[in-house]
Amino acid sequence: MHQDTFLNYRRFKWLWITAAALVAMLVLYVVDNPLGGRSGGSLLGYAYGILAAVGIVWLMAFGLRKRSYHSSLGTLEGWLAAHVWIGIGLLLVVPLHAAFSFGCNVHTLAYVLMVLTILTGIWGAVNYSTLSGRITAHRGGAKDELLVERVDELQQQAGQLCAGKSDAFVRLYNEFCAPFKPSLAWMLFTSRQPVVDKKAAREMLSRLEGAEHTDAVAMIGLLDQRLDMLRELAEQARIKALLKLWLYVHVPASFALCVALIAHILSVLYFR
Amino acid sequence: MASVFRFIHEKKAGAGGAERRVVEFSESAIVFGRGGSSHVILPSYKVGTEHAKLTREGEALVVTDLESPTGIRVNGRPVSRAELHGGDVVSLGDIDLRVSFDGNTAEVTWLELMPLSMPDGERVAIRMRQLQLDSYLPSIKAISIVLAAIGVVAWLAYPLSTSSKKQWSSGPISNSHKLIEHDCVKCHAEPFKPVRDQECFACHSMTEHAHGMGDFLQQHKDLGRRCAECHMEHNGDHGLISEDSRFCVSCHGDLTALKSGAAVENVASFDSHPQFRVSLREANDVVTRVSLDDPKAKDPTPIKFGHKVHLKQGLEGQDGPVTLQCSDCHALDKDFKTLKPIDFDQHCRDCHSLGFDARLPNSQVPHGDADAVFPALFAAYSRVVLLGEDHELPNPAQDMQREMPGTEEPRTTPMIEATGIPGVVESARQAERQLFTRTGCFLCHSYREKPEEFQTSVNSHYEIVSPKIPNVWFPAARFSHGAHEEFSCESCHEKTRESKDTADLLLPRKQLCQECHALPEKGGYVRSDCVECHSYHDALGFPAEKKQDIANYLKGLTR
Repeated sequence: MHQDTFLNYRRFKWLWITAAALVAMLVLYVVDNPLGGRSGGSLLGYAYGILAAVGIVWLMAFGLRKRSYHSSLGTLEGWLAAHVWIGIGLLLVVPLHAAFSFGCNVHTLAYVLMVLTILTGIWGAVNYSTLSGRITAHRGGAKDELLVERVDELQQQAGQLCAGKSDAFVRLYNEFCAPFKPSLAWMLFTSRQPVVDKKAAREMLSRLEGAEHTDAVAMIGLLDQRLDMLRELAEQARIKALLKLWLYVHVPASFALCVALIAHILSVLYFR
Repeated sequence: MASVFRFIHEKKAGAGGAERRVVEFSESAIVFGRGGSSHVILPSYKVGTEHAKLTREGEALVVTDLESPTGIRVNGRPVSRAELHGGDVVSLGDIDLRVSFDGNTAEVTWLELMPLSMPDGERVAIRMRQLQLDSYLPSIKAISIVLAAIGVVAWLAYPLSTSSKKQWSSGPISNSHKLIEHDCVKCHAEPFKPVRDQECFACHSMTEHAHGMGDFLQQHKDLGRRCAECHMEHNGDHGLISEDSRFCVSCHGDLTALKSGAAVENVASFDSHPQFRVSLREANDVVTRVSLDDPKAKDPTPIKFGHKVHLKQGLEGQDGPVTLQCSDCHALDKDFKTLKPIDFDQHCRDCHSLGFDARLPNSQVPHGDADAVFPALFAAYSRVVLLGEDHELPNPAQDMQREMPGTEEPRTTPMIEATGIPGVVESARQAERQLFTRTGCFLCHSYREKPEEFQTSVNSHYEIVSPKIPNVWFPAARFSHGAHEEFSCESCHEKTRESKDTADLLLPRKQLCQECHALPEKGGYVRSDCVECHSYHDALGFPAEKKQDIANYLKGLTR
């Protein structure tokens, strides 16, 4: 079943528009042989520069468009599709504008910031298309809040089993009741989440006898369930973090790009 | 009895309100643990039944681990026994105890921040916040504002406030301008305005074309041509001197549209180049330029010369027959471009002796200075008379017979008819007249008899019409013979072997050049850009008043 996403929106409408525009621009660029050589200062260079600047301003306007819920300027999905594909297209438009000349100056800085913005944008787009589906595939549709509550409940239930038990029993509890202390690293590196080491558990269980043994088995069952939930929470938190983390570079880099772009345009007009 | 230990349990529950419980102990040692046997009961499953013991040992306060399952840490460091001081934090399992000790009562505080008794909703809310990326990072907005602010200062405010705006430079400066690289205002005198010609002229004294162009462009301001339009800076070592013909053609393609009565014809490319015009110096020294297609294009040099005669095989040379090659007379000059001028002594004298008397076979007059001819003749005859040298005079009837080059008829060299040496002066004058008007000089040159008032007893009574053989026919063009040395002379100077007259201009026409120099689409192999042959500015030197010494120049530059 064909399903529209922001990338294949209307059968890649914006990808084709961007690709066609790029091919046309590339052909014009190759054909053009301006007096004094190709540069950002030639007629075509100026045209591509203006096009790229307008493009950047439009791409940044997406930040406003996505917040205006009552806008009638096309669907948000369409805007996002255009945002992604036109943004990627700028990677080539700007070198065509500059005739592929780069240096250690504010002009190239603007390009570097633009590349940084676009690459993080691509990272974000990839994250969205690969990870966002995994958010909804949550166990039984339970929400994170329920999982959090359940984790604490399980810890409490296991803890209650410790009442009046020997130190060896409590040691078993401590071994398998890893603290629930979410952190940035905990979130981004889910693979480090602890699991119940079955072998160690069996060995420690063998030292307990009678009622304590029975309770310990029940406790480990509870704690194993709890760790499963913790891993699930961590995985969900990681996905949500990855869906946001790229924005921490994408958006600030785009604002820095705006300043660099103003500096670029100002300096070019300043030194004519 | 004063208490030895004071235990304070503070609960900071959000919605449930705060709670504070204080217990005093007079014992010198108290035990902390989960079990009922402990003095202080810490209800955590990370705490052993009897976890740690706090002891007063004189003035000291000591904590000891009672083989607890999770151990104890003092200020984060695991220990089994440690002396405590005020401000230390002792951790038993997941419970942190703050110690304050003034030497009398040791106060131990347990600040319970999030007891499990906290209402579920709030606990979950805190957990949920901890699962958000935002809670670990500054806001995207804040990062954006800081980064943009840094940009405004570093990329806008700072360059605007300094004279060196290096980071605004659009590219590397040409090597010639490296000295003033950091002195932007040297060229960019006014911000937001194009570089003016006067900034260029401040250092560069461009002559003729540029200055002439200056006047011309003043009258045609609508053209808006500036130096910097053709000389584009900030392209590194490329571009400052453009070789693109379109710069020239943008005006020269249609000069008549700019100025009526233009001195030169329109040219759009070498294909449409007008026929070459040779610079001819007329008798009054006025140089006129005549197209090679014009019948008037004749070599005006007053010399009697024919290439045909000289290139004949088996000419009579001094030591037998010779066949001359082009290179026997024409050689590349040191510049590897032009040809050396013809030199009589080097190229002609071997065959064309300047002898004057068959009785004096070893005597010749010098070439190059007509006035030196008579003194030389006088000296030769004087020597014979004064030194009384015994000369075996040849039989006057037995004239030296010599074939005139290029002719079949034997030529009789007119000899001085003398049976002895009459008067020295008379002999010398007679020989002089023969040389100038009939033999040696006359063979190639035209002569003039000097007016009587210029005839003295010690100089020649004749003068030679100066030939002024031009060495370069197209002084405005850059041509290098050296660059074309792989080709035979005659592949360009085509009809040389048939030329009988000096007046024949044996120069190649543009059509011949175009066989190689043409646009690729016209089958050209080599470049045919304007600058291939033409130079633009006729730089005649730098005016003295503009010269300055290097030290002062460098001092004037702001770094």
